[in-house]
Amino acid sequence: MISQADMKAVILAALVAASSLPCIARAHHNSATIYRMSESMTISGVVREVRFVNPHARILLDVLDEGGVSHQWLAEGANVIALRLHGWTGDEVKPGDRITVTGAPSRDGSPRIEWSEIVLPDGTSLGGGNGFPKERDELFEKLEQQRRASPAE
Amino acid sequence: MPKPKLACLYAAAISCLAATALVHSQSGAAGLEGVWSTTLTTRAHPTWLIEDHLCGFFCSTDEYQHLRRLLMDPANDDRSLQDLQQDMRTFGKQRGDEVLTDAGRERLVAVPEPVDTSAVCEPPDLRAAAFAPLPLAIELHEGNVVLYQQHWNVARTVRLTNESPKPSGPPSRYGNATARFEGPALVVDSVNLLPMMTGDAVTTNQARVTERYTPTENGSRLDLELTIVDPATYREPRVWYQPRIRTPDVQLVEDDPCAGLREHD
Repeated sequence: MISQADMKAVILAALVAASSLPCIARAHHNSATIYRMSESMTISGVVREVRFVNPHARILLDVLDEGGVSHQWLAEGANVIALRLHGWTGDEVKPGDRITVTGAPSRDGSPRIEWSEIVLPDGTSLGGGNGFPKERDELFEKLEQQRRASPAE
Repeated sequence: MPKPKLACLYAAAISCLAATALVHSQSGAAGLEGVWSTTLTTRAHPTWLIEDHLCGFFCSTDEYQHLRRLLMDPANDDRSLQDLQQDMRTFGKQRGDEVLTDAGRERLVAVPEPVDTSAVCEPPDLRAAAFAPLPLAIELHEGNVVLYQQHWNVARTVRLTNESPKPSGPPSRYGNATARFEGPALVVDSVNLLPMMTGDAVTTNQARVTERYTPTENGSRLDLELTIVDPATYREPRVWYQPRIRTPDVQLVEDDPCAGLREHD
């Protein structure tokens, strides 16, 4: 645990910083208002930029449509603090990587996706989506197995 | 007789000593300090119960109790966890609707979609801050308790006293609060709050919010119950629940919650 004085300094600095910054009103969202959470889609593309920032990590990638035209997509994931606590460093996905992203499509048809899974060029599957849905599903599966092994008495 | 200035100093000193005694005489004080985390960031920890995971980052106490009943009933052994979780949510929504007053329902209808306060780069309201799934640090100082939320760097310093909070000035996001110990539990009462409208919480500035932080006997778990009493919007007290576990290896860090909001979409 950091010291009390350090903690106060950190909190104060962050509050001052936060209060002095102009913010864009529509850039952040409640997931359900921007994405169709009950639907899923998959896109593949080449990573242009990774932004490891709050309130959500962002990946910009170039995706070719059926006609071969490139479009820039925005993929959004979890809060960066939570990602770090899950062991993420921000280097998991790099510019130039060809990745496959699965997640919820946007409600308005704009090229953005809230990812639940990212598959890297070497086949590695990553979670890290907002609310960590992949990790949650995997946990539920494990819990289900445990529950079957010891049902309620 | 002390002179007036000295009298003030003496009074302050006595008050300070009394407050210190209040803190240290309570059995729960030592068990509360530290960093506490939710299922979001410690999912694999063996301490968690199935119902903790299904509750999510927080749920109403009605939902949690309903869920426990479902899990204890052998008749539900063949139902999936997702199905039981959905059952819990349906039950919770029904209970939530039942306890709303007409005025409360009207307020909810007026804002059909859940409001995300961070959409406008503003700190969360009291309930959203208290239930934020990121780590929480609790520190006890002489006469005060400090609640640091990693989420939005929210830091609340609350005076320890047996007095009820009194409104002072206009309503604000975290209002006026006092804290006290009830056995091992730290109880924080807040009044004079700005109206809240996040998820299924809907309040006016007449609301009274009570947070009850209860550590388990071995100090490894912290149960938070948050009660909203607002006769304008709820027919009865509305109570939500969130479990946390002690995570001494976690540190709160500096965070700019708005960094991504300054970028062009």
